[in-house]
Amino acid sequence: MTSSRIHFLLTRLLRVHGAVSGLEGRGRSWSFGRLDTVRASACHWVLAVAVTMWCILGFPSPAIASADLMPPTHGYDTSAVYDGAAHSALSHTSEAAPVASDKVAESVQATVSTATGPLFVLFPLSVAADSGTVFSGHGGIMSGEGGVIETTTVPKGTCIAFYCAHGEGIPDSLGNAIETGNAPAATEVFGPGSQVPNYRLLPPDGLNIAGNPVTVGEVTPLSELLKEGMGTCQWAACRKVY
Amino acid sequence: MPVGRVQEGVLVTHFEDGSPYEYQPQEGPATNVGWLDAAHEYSKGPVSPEFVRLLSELCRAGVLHMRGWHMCNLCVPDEERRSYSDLVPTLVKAEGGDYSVGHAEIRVPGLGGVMYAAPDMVIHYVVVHGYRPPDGFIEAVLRPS
Repeated sequence: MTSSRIHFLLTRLLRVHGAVSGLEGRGRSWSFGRLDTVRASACHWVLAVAVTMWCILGFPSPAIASADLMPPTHGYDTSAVYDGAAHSALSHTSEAAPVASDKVAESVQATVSTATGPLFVLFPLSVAADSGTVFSGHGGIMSGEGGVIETTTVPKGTCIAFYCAHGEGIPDSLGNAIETGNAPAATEVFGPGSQVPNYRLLPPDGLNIAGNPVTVGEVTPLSELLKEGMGTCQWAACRKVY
Repeated sequence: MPVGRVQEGVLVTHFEDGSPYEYQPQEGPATNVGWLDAAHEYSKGPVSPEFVRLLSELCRAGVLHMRGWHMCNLCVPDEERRSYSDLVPTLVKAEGGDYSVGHAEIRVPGLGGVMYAAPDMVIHYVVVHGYRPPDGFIEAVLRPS
């Protein structure tokens, strides 16, 4: 079965899931609160497997396909401001990517809302089981003119999980929990093709680092840390905005 | 267990001296001291060298370490910090060796069951910016433990 065929079937499944749960087309962010309304759906099990496969194997997603139509978003993004508050505690942010035209924008958003949005309803369930690379240290990002936040695209076959909201921090103790596989559910996960704030990882000065995470000796952007096929990575650092 | 209060996308780190501690609510109750910010006035005045020495020891140890740096915006205003090369932790020079501050807190038990909560940056505020904490806090630091 070709990957495009698998993707087609996944898309169909997701549309069925959306119809069953009554969520289809209501937006691009999905919260834990809504999860309660759809927990009984048998499609969840199928979706959980699909999400794990999607992240590990890197199936082509509509978000990635759409990203091909977009201009690069590395460097300061002058057309969009990342607004963490606009997203739910658990959200998918592919729509944050700037697009070249309104027509393309409509296409991207329609695809994302029906195909990739619901994936993230269940995604945290697979994070603990798929604990990949952990990035540890101090973290944050500088805002540009007008509060514009630089973003980067999560590579194919990779996800990045965060344990606090954009702009917030985490204590060293939570970082240790992440490093040792004892963290609570992630608060936000970005999948392949998603636009994520290009946070910087700083050296872990003054911190107690556990396990064997990736640390840095100098300020390093997330875009340099994320590579294709890394599975679910975890950010054991703050998401402060300077 | 994320912490802090975000306002307009920025983590708020200013609290009036004597106000109830709420930065990490699960670590309270406590009384705020030394959460300064360039946008707010603060008390200035001399303090004794012994107070500075003891306060420095507390700040070097720190508690509740965070995985992000707070930058002193009394030194460099936030709006002027636009390069990642500006994200250099504040260094405190001390007899026992230099150390960085801006990612931890201190706790100092005072009289009457009061527990003071201050950022480890408070030593920098005292030494470099002339901050004089409330008398109760100074007495608590000087009081033999």
